[in-house]
Amino acid sequence: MALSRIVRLTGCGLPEPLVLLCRLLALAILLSNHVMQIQTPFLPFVPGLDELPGEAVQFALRAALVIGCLGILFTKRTRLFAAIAGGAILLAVLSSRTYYGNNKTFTGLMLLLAALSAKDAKLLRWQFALVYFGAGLNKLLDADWQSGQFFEHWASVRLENPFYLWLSPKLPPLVAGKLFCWTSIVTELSIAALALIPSQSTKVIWLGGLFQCGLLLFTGDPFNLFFMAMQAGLLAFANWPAKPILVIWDGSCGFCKRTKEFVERFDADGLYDWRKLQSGAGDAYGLTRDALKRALHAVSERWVLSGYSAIRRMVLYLPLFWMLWLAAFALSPNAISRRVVVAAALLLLTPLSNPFGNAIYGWVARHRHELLSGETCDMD
Amino acid sequence: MRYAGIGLLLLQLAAIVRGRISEDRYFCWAPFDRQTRYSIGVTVGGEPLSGEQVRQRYRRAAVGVDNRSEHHIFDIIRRAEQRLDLPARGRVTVAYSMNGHPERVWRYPE
Repeated sequence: MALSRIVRLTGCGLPEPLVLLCRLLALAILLSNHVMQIQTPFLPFVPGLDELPGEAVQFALRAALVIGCLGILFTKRTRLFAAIAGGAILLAVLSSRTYYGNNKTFTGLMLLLAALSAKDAKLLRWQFALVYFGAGLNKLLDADWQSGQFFEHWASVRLENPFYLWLSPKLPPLVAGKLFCWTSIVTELSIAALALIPSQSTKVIWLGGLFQCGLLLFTGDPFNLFFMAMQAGLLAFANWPAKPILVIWDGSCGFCKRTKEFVERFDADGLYDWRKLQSGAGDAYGLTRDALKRALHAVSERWVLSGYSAIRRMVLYLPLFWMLWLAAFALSPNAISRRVVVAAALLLLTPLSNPFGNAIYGWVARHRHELLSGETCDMD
Repeated sequence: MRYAGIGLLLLQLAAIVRGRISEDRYFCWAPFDRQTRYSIGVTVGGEPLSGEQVRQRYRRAAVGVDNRSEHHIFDIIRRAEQRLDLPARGRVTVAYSMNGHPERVWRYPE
């Protein structure tokens, strides 16, 4: 029941991607034990907050954050609990200059803006644009970013990054630093601009996702909540299917039936409309029986995919996939395991995995009738 | 409700503009723009404070690296000292190096 509740995105008063965004942020906060980072008020941005009883304020903020996160995860009142969780983080930021941090402020704002959103994600998209604009502008006007000195010092002295230490001496002084600095500046300002253009959402997802993943792979550091909040924030740009995705499968195959039942267990919103190829479901899309027998097909309003590509796209729309991925990341004990989790996701989600994905899918498809011996055919 | 959200965004835009003219750069979305290695030394009534005492006084390690503007550190020290009674106030020296540049020193009282 709890699993079914947590992966159901419909009926929560917000568009599905925003519900998933809030749930991922709530998971990130709870699994990283961020609640314990909230301090008693100290040198607050809002005068007077440090005159309140410190322990009581700290307890109230921690309790509000836990209640807000649990409410986001396990109830349909996403808007209310996102406001509580986001408000608690922002109040904690405003109550202490030593708790203040960009990652916490961003996480709190994303939750609060989701709660304040109407039927779209414009507020969150503008928030995304503002963050990247501010970050890009600061770097653009900073002498050490212009010269490459920032990256030279950060990557070689602070991080002792093996790749940078290998590359830098092969180039003239500061050229490697300049390359990384200017790549960051151009990328951040590009994302800021693209985030303001609704038709460029896919580019924001790719550019923003790859940029943050690249940073994580380079540093191994999630910068507290920042990496997880940034990845979850990309859901504000996601194009969620308005109608169920038609999945055409081989009804004569026991293995396929088991696979369908397994996926259906986690498809609480009924996003996939499974139809047997024997029912003639592919005819309307010009899909031949031979093609449908060779591979599973997934059909939405905007695309038709088959085989490994179809499976991959279906996984992308399963909330459980993202929750498990984020949980694996949040619970990663060190930089190496974090890099592995991110690299695995990149491999799965990008065309890099096509060669072996297609090979494995092809083998399974060819041997599907042998994989579950004793299964009976279902030919209705 | 949407207007409240727009108000929040406008406040941040103002903070980004303010970040161009202020040194502390709070709320202007400047993550990891600087790497400041620092060491805080404090004496109160001529007696030096231990690293743990410094941490309790400013909620910040006496020696460490900050990934934001060095003025965040100065601002916290300044404000923490100013809220103490005059006899309890310390004389503070912060030796810091930003992005690998030669070390500099900041003192309080300034």
